Amino acid sequence: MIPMLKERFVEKLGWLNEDELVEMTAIGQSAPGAMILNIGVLIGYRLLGFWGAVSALLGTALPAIVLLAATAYFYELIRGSHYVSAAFRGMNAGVAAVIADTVVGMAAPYLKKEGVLYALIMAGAFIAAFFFNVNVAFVIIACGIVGVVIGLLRGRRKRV
Amino acid sequence: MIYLDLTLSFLLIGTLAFGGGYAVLPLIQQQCVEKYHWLTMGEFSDLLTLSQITPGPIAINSASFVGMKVAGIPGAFIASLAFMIPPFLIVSLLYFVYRRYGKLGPVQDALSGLKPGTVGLIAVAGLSVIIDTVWRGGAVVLASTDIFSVLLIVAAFIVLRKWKPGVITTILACGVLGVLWELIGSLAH
Repeated sequence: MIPMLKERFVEKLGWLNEDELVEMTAIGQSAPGAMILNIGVLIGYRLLGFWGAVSALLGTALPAIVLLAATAYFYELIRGSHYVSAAFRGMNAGVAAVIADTVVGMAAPYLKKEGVLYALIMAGAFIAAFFFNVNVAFVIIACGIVGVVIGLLRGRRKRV
Repeated sequence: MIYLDLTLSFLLIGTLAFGGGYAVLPLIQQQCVEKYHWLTMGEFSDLLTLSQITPGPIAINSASFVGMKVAGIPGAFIASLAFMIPPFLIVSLLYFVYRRYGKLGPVQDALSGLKPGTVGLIAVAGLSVIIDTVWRGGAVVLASTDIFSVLLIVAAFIVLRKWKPGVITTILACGVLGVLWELIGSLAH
């Protein structure tokens, strides 16, 4: 996705330089939501201000909204069919494997020695949601607070 | 009222979906399956499949799908727009903070805790998809285990780890295998 943005906005159109795109990626990843939409908003701000940001957001999201609304419509029509069920049975197994693969990839950086604290957060979130059915919204807020506290403690230690 | 529920639900999802891509899954499962019963767990798995094999961000794909399913075309737009509002406001804020101070100190700290937490939550959502695929919403016992799905999940996982084929290729290949398995089954009868 980033190489695609770079090719279009940096190389072809010359609207941004490469450093700006790197910064936007960092900010885009720091906010919630879909990164591609966030980067779109930032490029919009940079080029045309507020309305640029709004247009970029709507322009990026609109094709997906329309496509998935159509998909949902056809899904309801054909889901009952025997062979569609068979295809979903296989595809859902594939998706389960894709998520497992992604989780393993995402967890790997935290499973090193220097990441112990963060591995504990990961394990804590898993246990809270899986075994104790804690509302995921609370788990996410708690993880953010723990992150800020760790940051403050580290900062204080540095100053001493 | 359905439009209000959709709006509030997707505003919450948009506010808390930190960590990109799959980060929305646990939130969508909690809101749309567990809280409001807009989707069954089986439909949630189907939605994941559909949002993976279509272009566009998973979050928007899911919002539009759920909105369309429960409240038609206006629902698709309302859910998607509600999802986009909080990230838009937060990105705008971060953009001005960054331009002013050149860094995002406490935000980065919060994220360093949010990201591993999200991984743990995605793992939970992933496990519930696996359980639904293998036991089809029934009891988790040996007798009701769908052996074909178990084998397919394990095989696809190994292939993904080893050769890193594209996500869409993997999912479509599994779909073809599902249909073939069904054909073989009906020929055998």
